[in-house]
Amino acid sequence: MFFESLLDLLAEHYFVIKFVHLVFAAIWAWSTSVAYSNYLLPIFRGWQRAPDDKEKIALRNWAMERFDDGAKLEHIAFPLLLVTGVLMMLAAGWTPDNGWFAMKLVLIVLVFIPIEAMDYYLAHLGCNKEKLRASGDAERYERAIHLHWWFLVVTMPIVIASITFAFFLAVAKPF
Amino acid sequence: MTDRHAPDPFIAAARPFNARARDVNLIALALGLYIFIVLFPAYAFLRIWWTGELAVLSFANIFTAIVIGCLFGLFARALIRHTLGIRKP
Repeated sequence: MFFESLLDLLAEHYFVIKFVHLVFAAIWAWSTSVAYSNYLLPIFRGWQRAPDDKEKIALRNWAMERFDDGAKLEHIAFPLLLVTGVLMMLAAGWTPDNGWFAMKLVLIVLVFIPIEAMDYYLAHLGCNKEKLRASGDAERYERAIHLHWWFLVVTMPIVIASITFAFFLAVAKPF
Repeated sequence: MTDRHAPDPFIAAARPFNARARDVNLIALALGLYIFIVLFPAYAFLRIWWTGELAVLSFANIFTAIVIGCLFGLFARALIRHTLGIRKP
């Protein structure tokens, strides 16, 4: 009885939930893209070309510390995106009977959540560069920079393809 | 008082980023295989579990998963090599 009332309430507000979901989807998907492609990427490429250049190393460290901070918006949006996604699922009655929805569930559970979990760790938890700098552990700081750069480089093709595909699934519902 | 001319330990600890073409090839292979070995079976399992139909395991679907896995592996390899500045030998 309660569950049915809840479903009715959600169905009544479906378009509002969808609007909120889209706003968080946009923040999650693109809030770091300018910082990555126009600042972090050229700075890291510059450092890779001249790994002993002290100015380039200092710039690299500064950029990565700022990027950790810059990922906050994305990481606030992601859990809210998941919550509004579940609400939309309940409101619209989607199930894995819909192929596009089953595919989207798979992407969320097996691609987005693992990537974001690692990203939270790298940007805000154990590998937050500002915290590592404050701890004075320069070796660990350097390892964190390398790990974070590997993570960004490897996840870039995944992010480009899977987020584009997720948007396509949600909008076109092709199968 | 802090010595402003003392070397920054976070700069002194920096070391070059060593990315080998072989590592990138393995990463791209793993990413391509992930689609075929993990994502597609998970999707198929979910569909079969929910609908009880085996149509998802059709030849066309399996072939599509293989092709997408291969194309994605190649895309990932090209993008990672480009980002890391790894040139053709």
